[in-house]
Amino acid sequence: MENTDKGKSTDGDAQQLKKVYAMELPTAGAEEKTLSILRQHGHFTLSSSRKKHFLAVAFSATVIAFIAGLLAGNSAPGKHNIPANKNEYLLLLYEPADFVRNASHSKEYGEWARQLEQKNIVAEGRELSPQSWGITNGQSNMATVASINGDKNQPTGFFLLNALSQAEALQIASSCPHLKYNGKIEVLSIKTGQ
Amino acid sequence: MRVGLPLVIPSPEKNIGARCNLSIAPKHSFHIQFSMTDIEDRVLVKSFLLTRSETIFRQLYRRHTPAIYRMALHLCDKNIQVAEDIVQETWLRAVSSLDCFQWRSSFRTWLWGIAINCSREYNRKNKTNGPPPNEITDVQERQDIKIDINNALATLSPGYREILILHDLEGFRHHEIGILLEISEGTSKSQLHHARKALQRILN
Repeated sequence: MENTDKGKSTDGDAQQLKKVYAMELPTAGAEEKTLSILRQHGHFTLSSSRKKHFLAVAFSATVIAFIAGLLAGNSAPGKHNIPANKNEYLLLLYEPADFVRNASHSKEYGEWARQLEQKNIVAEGRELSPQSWGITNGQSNMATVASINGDKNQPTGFFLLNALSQAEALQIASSCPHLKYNGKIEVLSIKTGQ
Repeated sequence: MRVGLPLVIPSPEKNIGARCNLSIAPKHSFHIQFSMTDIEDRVLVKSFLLTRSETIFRQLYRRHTPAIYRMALHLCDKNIQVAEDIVQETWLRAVSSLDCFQWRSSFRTWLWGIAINCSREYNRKNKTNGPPPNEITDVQERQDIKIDINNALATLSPGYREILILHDLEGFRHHEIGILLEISEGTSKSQLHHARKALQRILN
């Protein structure tokens, strides 16, 4: 206290008051709490250690996103690994009137497709339902594909192939068991780069 | 020539009273009074504004927070949580407007001004203004009651508490208190005189 001021309390009381007053200190967590609020308001730049931590987290997130993207890409419908030097072909399977339907067809077709799949030739193969939704001039109605394109035959299944050329695709198609039962196969080349 | 600055600057509390008189040229018959605390604060504030570094901020925080906390604690009914909230709000406001600080007063005075405003805002919102304005009369009526020194400050009116804390406990000068509380230097002296008398009555 300044000696010039009048009305000074006694020295003993003043000293004791100062002592008691000086004992009050903020709790240990107060500093971190304040800094955390200031950080949230963006008042600090990142320190070098925090920068490193941030970069490590960002890098990990990028790697995880990349891997997840790859996995998602591989599992997405219509996407598969196409060897660099090969093209895609679609085999459409038709069942004409004289087609011999057998209960063991699907098993035989499946076995043929599995063997080619192991050689990375067949990528996909499915049987199609006889009923499809036909769309003409913006209107949709239950119809057969054959009734839409004017052909009495309609595809009943398909295989998606990877082949070096159309000749190889035709060769593969000719080995399909579908032909043994008087079935017809149409080989369509899928345009690349789209 | 580059001059290395000390990395850790001690708390201003250690420098209270270490005020220097800097005489300019003899032609100019005036002198500027400043303390080492002000210079150190200036260095830290400028460094913080340049770098926005947490490390520098921590130094500023540790230099000033204990005193601000004590003041907030005594102005807000010794509520620890409220005092810490006031400290937090004070720093948030200070750092947000630090770019605009003109150095017309010391950093310490400016910061305390913010802290006092925060405390007053809290008291206004919570209507805990302590004893009524006729506190001296009340104290006179119960002069026979010996009040513990721990609670002596709390018994004073907020105005007397502020001035006693600022002048007698934190070492602010009357012209600084005038800036802080927006009163004249004379009013500050007179208020301090009354506050001390009131405190004497409580303690006797």
